[in-house]
Amino acid sequence: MEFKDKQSIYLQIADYICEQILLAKWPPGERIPSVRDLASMMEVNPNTVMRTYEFLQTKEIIFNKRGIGYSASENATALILAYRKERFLENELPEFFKAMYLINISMEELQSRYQTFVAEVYPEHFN
Amino acid sequence: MIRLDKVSFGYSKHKKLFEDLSIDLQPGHIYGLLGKNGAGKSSLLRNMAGLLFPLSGKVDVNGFEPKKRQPAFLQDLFFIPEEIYLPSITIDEYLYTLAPFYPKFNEKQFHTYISEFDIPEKNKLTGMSYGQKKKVLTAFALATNTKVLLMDEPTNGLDIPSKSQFRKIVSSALEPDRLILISTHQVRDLDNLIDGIIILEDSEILIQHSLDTVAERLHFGTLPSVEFDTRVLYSEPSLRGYKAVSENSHREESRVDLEQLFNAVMENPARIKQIFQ
Amino acid sequence: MNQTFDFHRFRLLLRLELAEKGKNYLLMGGLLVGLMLVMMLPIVLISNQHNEILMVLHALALFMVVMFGGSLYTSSVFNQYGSPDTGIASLMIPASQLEKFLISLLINLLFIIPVTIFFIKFHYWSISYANEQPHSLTQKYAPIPADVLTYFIYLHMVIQGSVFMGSIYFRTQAYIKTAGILFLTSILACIIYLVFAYYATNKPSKLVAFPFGSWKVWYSEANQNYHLVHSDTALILIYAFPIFFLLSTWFISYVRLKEKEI
Repeated sequence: MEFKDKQSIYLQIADYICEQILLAKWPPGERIPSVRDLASMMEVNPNTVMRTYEFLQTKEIIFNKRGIGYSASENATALILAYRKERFLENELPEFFKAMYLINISMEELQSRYQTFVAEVYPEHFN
Repeated sequence: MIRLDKVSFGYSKHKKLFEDLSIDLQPGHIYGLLGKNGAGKSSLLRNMAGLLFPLSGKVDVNGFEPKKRQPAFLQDLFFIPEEIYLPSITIDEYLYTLAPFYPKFNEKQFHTYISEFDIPEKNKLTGMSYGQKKKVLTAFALATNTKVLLMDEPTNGLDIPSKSQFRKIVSSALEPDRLILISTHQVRDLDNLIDGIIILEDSEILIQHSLDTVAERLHFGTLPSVEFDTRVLYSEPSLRGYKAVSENSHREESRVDLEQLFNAVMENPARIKQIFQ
Repeated sequence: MNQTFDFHRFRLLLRLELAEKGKNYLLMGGLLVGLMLVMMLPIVLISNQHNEILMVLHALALFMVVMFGGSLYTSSVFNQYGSPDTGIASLMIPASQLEKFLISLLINLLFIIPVTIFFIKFHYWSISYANEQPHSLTQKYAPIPADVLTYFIYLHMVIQGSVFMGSIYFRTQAYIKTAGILFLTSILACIIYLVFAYYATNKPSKLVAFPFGSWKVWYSEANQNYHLVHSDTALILIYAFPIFFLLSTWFISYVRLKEKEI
């Protein structure tokens, strides 16, 4: 996995896990990779992944069943969306608005571009 | 697990390589030992392995005094030097003759690592390239399951895919009761693998902290300008302004960039010491 | 767990040593024994004539092969501690320092002693065999005298011990350095001993005296000489000296190995 420069690694791994859950690759109730496996796959320190898992556990997105391992909770999708939305509104949207304003992109243009994007990238979700 | 108490070492009494070093390392972590060439990283590791004896001070590794080189100490410590040696025998013979010395050696683990490193098992060790030999020894070292694993510049001589395999394998070999200490001057090779950092420079230790602590106290990011900003410890021009290391007064989460951290420590040792007191 | 000596670990060390260097030992051992046979067999094979050169070959085999070859073999005993890469690998093997030392000593003795015994046995056998051949009716070969051989064996012990110690003491060119020191020391010892004997016997006209050996003294040009031999107690002390020297070199080598830093 390619890490971005800015954000701390454990949060980037959290984003990756959330994405897998949102895309239904790791459905609720099913075991997700262990700390060790994910750390090895991503070439990062297991303690960093442990921190990610603990972080997601406090957000109740994943839970730990003794002897079985971690899985996504039943309402993980809703929780992830809430968490992501919070982060997006806090960090990324202001940057995005700033750029929109500077290069003068209208809301209408944005909307049409957004719809084309969704249709192209996620055709199965488009209806 | 590894504890140095006011250790001094030098090849002669007048020219000391380091003086009054105190270090305390705990199991369950992968530590990176950074320093310029000639800063004494290798000598420090060899003091821990019992290959060099300190001039003064106390070294305690796993409850043993390394200098005595007792079998029980050696059984629970593996040291991979920068220049490695493997006898001219096959991998199987190597296992047959050396593995029995290590009570916790796991052959299955060894074969897993060897295949992850893409090494053909039937080859003689002498016929292998330097990088391949290094990978065989690394696989062996990890499979001995010693409590302490010291590696001196382990990624030297490895090509880019091998470095990635190296990080994967070392990450998977960390156990709660195991301590891995890696020295390197190529910080990029250890990115994200280590969770603790020790920087050795000018015969003293400038930083000895977990990366979490580093991220709490320092901020790594891009700034539009660095002039008049007293919080900035180190900066370098980049495409979008300046990549800078500054004091983390706003408690912002950022990703620790080892190379920039290293440069910041080299450039501003006094402030770093003050921040990390 | 015993931290000083454990038979299981010792066996593992032996296996490791043989796997790593067994071929070299065998090659070198084979070469020396082969050379010895080449020099010692002619006296057995050439049965139709008497030739003193064949006898000289035996003496040569004793000095060139047993002493020089043997010490060359001994000088490689601590080879692995000479360079940093092999030295680290050896020092880090989980075995005690005593076990590592004893392995080197054992490997060494297992070669040196049989070669020396083989020479002596083969020498006496071949001489007596040659003396039974038809040509020997007129002239017989005389084997190396027992006292010379005894002197040689003690010398052999001193040399082996010195080279053994030198091979761990010196990091580079151990053999040459040891040989140099040994050579100078023995020359010096001979001179001092001779000077001492010269004055002790009141300045004779001719004197033969080697360290630890008996003295022959001439006072006039006449063929008459005095043969001074050591007393029995002195002899015991003299014979004990090389053994004591040998044990000391072994002990110093062990201490040196313990203190080896790489």
